[in-house]
Amino acid sequence: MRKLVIIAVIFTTISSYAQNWGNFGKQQASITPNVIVDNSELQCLYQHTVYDTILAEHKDFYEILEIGKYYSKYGNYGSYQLDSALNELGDTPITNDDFKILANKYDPSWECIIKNIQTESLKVYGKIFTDRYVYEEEIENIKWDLHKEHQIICGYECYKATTTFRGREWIAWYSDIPLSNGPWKFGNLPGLILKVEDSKQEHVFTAIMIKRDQTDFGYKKFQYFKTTRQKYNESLIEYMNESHKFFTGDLQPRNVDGSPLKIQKRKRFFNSIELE
Amino acid sequence: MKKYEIIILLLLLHIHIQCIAQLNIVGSVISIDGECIMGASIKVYDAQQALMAYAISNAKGRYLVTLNDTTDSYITITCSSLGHKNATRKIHTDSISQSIDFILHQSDIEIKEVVVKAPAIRTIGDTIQYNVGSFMSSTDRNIEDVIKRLPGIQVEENGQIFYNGESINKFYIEDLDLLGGRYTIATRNISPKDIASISIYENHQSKQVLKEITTSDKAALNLKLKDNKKLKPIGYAQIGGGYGDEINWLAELFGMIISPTNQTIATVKGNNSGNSYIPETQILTSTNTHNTISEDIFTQYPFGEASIPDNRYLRNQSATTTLNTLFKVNKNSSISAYIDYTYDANHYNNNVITRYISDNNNTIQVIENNHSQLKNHIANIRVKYENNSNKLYVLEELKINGKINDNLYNVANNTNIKQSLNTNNYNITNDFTTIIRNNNNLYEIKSLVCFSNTPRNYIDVTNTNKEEFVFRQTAEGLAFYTKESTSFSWLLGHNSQLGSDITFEARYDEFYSKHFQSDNISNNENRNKGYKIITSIVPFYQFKNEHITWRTEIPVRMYNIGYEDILNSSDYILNKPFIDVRSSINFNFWGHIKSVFTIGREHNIGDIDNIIINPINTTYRQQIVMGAGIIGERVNNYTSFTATYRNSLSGFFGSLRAMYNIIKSNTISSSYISSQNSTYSSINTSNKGSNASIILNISKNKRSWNTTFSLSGSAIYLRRQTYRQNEMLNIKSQIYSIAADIYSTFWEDRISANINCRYGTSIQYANEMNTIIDELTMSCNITLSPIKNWDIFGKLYFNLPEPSISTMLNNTFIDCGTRYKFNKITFELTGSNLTNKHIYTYTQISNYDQYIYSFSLRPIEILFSVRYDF
Repeated sequence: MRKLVIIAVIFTTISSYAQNWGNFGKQQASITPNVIVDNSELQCLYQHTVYDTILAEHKDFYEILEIGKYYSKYGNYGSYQLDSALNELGDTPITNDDFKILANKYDPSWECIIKNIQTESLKVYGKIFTDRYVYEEEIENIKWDLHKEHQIICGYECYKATTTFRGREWIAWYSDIPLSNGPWKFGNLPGLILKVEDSKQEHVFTAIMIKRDQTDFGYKKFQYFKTTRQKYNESLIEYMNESHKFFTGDLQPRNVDGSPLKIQKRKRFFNSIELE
Repeated sequence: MKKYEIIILLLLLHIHIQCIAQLNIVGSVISIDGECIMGASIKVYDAQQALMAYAISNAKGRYLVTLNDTTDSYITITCSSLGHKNATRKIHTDSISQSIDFILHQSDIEIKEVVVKAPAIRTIGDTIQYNVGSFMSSTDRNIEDVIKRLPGIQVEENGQIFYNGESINKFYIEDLDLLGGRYTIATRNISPKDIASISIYENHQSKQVLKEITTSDKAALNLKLKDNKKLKPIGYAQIGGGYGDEINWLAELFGMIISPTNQTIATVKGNNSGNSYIPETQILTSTNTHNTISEDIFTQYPFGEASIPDNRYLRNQSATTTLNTLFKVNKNSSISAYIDYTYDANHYNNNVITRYISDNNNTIQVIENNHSQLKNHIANIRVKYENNSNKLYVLEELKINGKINDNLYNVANNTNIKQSLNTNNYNITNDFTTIIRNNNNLYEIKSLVCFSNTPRNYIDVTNTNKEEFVFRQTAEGLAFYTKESTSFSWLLGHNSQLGSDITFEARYDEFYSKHFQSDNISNNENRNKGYKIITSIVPFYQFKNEHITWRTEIPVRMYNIGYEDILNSSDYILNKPFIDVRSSINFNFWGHIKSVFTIGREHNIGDIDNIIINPINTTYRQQIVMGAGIIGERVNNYTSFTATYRNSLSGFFGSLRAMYNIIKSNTISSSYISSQNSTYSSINTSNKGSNASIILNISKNKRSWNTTFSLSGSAIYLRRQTYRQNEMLNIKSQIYSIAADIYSTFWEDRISANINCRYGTSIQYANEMNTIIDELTMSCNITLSPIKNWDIFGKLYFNLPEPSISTMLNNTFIDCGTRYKFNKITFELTGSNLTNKHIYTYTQISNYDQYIYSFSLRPIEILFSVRYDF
C-alpha cells in the first residue's frame, strides 16, 4: 500500500511537471523591466553597415538614437520595436508563447549606450557570452575639422566634418538640427550627425528615419558587472574571435558518457569599432 | 606724423590684429524662464556666411568659442536649441570683450519627419545589391518576376538570366551553389517575400584560389534570404482546376529549407494547363557535356516551333519531381547532390507552307498539315564535392543524364504520312579539377571524362492512306571523350604572370545509320568510327594592374585525327599542328566603365560527321548528308569590343558589344530541292563568310517615378556562300531589332504596369533575289490592387507579322485574372486567350526559302487555383 502511494506521488509529480513544462508557453511571461532615465521627443534610426575584414562580409544592423532632455540612448532598433509593442499592450498580460513570437519577429538585443548630457558622461551596457557588463566614461570632446562640402542625407542638408577618434579616421555629415549628438559615441558637432563612416568604410552609420514620438527610454534592469572600457573591449574581441574558449567549466557541453564535447573553433561576425 | 609715432601705430595695429587672430567668445544660453539651456549650438559665421567655429553649451548653459584668423570687421553668431527659436547676433569684432548671452524663446519643435526608403541599388566594390523590397510588387508570383524588373538584368523566355547582355556564370543562394546552373527551379518557385536582396557579382571568379589573378567577363547572381526565412521550411502547395476544350488541372508542391550548413529544395509538380517543366531542370550556365553525333540528328520539332510561349499552343501533360541538397562540410567544403525526373507529353497542330526556290528561280511549294505528339522522359543525377579555399580548389563532380523520346507526327499533304521518332540517349560525365596556389605560383590539374550512348534512335515513316510502311531511318552512336589538362604559372613581380596550359583531349566516336525501305533493300548506310586527339600547349602572358588586365595566349595544337568509313574501307587521317592567337585587354575606367577588347584567330578542325557521306532522312521528305568526305578545316579571325557602364546610385546600366568575324572553310553547305524531297549536304569547296554585329542594352531606374526603362537594339550583318541546285549563291543578310520596355508602379504601388514593344526586320539578298520580313510585337501587363490583398491583372499581347505589307493579319491575345489573399491562402482565377484566337501565323526566311507557319492555339480557358504558402 505504502509503495503504491509513493508510486502514485511520483507519477503525479512527473505528470504535473510535464504538464507545467508543456504549459510553460501559455504561462504569463516574466519580462525584465526597464530603468527609465528620460523621455524622448526625437528619434533617429540609423543603418549601421559593418564589414568583417576576416570573413570578408558586410552586414547591416539597425540602431536607434533616442534623444531626451537630459539623456540620450543609442541602441538596437529591434529592442525599441519590442518595447513599443509591449507598451502598446499596456497592462495586458502576455504569454511566453506570445513573447517568443514578438522576440523572434524583432530579434532584440539589449546592449546600448546612455549619455548623460548634464554630467557629460556615458555608460555602455554590453554583453559578452552570457554575462552583462557596464562601464562608464566621460563623453569625449571630439575635435572636428569642419569642411565646406555638403550633401543631402535623410532629407536634410548636411555638412562635412572629419576627425580621428579611437584609432579610426572618421568622416561625419551633420545637419542643422540643433542637437550635438549622433550615432554610437559621436557628437560635439553643431548639429545632429546623420552620417558618419570611417575612412576604410568598415563602419558606416547612415540615418534613414527621423521621427517624433514621445517615448520613455532607459536600460534593462539586469545584473551588470562593472568594468572598464579597455577590459570590456579586450574580452569582447576575444569572445567574438574565439567563442569556443568560453564553453568551460559548467558551461562545457558533454557527451553522453560525461566526457567534454569538443567545440569547433568559430569566428563570429565582428569588427571592433574602437581600435585603441 | 613723426617716424616713431608711425612705428608705434603699426605696432599697436599688429597687436590688434594678433588679438583678432585669437579671439574667445564666451557667454550663456538661458530660456526666458531663466533656466540654463544645455546642448545649445552656438555657431560663428564670417562676413561671407561661412562657418568659422562653434561651441556647445554645457550643463550650466555656458559656452566658449575660440576664433582663429579673422580679419572681418564683423561676425554673425547664431544660437539654436531644440524646442527654442533661433537667436542671431551680428557683432563687430572690436566689441567682443563682454560676455555674449542668449535668451531663447520656446517654440514648437520644427523637425520634419523623414523616412528614407532602403536604397534600391547599392554598390560595394564589384557587388551590386538590389533591395528586393524596392522592386517588388504585390503581384509578383515568384522571384523571377522581380529579377526581370531589375535594371541591367534581362531574363529570357526559358529563364536564362543575363547581366548587361552576358549570361550569368553562377547562381547562388546564400553564396552557395546548390542548383548547379538549374536555377529556374529557384527563380520560378521562391516567393519574393522570402528574399531580402539580390546581388550581382561582376567579373565573378568563383574559385577563391584564382581571385586577383584571373577574372571572368561574366557575372554571378546571389539570392539573400530574409533572416526569418532561414532555418525553417518555406514554400507553397497549389492545386487548381479549370476548363477550356477539356478539363485542365494543376498540382504543385515546392519546399525549401536554408541554413548555414544545409540547403535543400524539393519540388513535385504536374499540370496540363500548358506549362512545361523542362526549362526548370535545364542547366543554364556552361556545361561540360559531350553528346554523340546522332543525338540531335532528328529534331523534336521537324515541322516547326512557334515563336510564342509554349503554353499558347501546346496541349500538355507535364510532371516533374526534383530534389536538390547541399551540405557544408566545413567553411570551404561542401557536398551537393540533385536528382530529378521530368515527363512531358505534348501535342499540337500546325500547318507549314514552305516555298523553296529551285531551278531557274521556280518555286516548289510544299503544304503540310501536322499533328505532332511528343513524349519526353528526362532524368538527371549529379553528385559533387567542392573545396574552395584561398590556397586549394578541388572539384569532383559526377553527372548522369538519360533522355527518352517517343514522338509521333501525322502529316497530311498530297499523301498522308505518319512519322514516329524513338530516341534513347544516355550520358555520364565525371569532372575533376584541383588548383593549388603556393605563394606566387599556381598549379592546376583537370580531368574531364564523358561517355555518351545513343543506342536507339530512329524514325519510322508510314503511308497511312495505303497503310504501308515506307521506310525506317536509324542513327545510333557512341562517344567517349576525355580532357586532361594541367597548368602552371609564375607571378613576376606584382603585376605580371607567365604560364602555360597543357591539355590533352581525346574523343572516340562510333556512328551507324541505316535506311530500310519497304522492299527490305537497305541502302544509304553509314558505318563510321574514329578518334580525334588534340594535344595543346598554350603559353600565356598576363599583365594586371588596377585599371588594365592584358592577357595574350598562343595556343599551339597538334591534331591527330583518324576516322574510318567502314563500309567504303576509307580512312581519313590528319596529323597536323595549328597555331592560334588570342589577346584581350580589359580596361577599368573611373566611373565604373569597363571595357574589353579582344582579337584572335582560331582553327576548328573536323569531326566525325565530316566523313558521314551517305544521306540520312530526318523527316519523310528531308535528307541530310552530314559530311563532304573530307576533314573540315575552318579558320575564324575575330575581333570584339565590349563596354559596360553602371552607375548604381542613379540606377543606370548600359552595355555595348561589337563583333566582327571572318570565317574561311574548306566545305560549303549545299541544298537540292525537288518536289519529292529536300536534300541538305556539304561539298568540298573553299569559301569565305563574315559576320558583324552590334548589340546595345540600356536600362535606367528612376526611383522618384518608381519606373525602370530598358532599351535594347541590335544590328547583325551576315555574308556567306552556299550552293542551291548546284549553283553558288552569295547571301547577304541584315537583321535589325529594337525593343523598349517600361515598368512602373504608381498610386502607392496599387497599380503596376509593364509595357514592352519590339520591332525586328530581316533583309536577305541572295544573288538577284531580295526578301524582306519584319515583325512588330507589343505586350502590356497591368495589375491593379484596389484594396489590400486583392489584385486584378490583365495582359495584352499583340503581334503583327509583316506590318510593312499589311496590318490586317495580327495575333492578339488577352489574358486576365484576379487574385485574393487571405492569411497564407491565395485564391486565383485566370482566363487565357479571352479573344478565343484560334490560329497564330508567322513567316520565316532561311537562305532562299520562305516558311509560313500557322499554329492551332489553345482556346479560351479558365483556371481556378488555391495556393497555400508556408
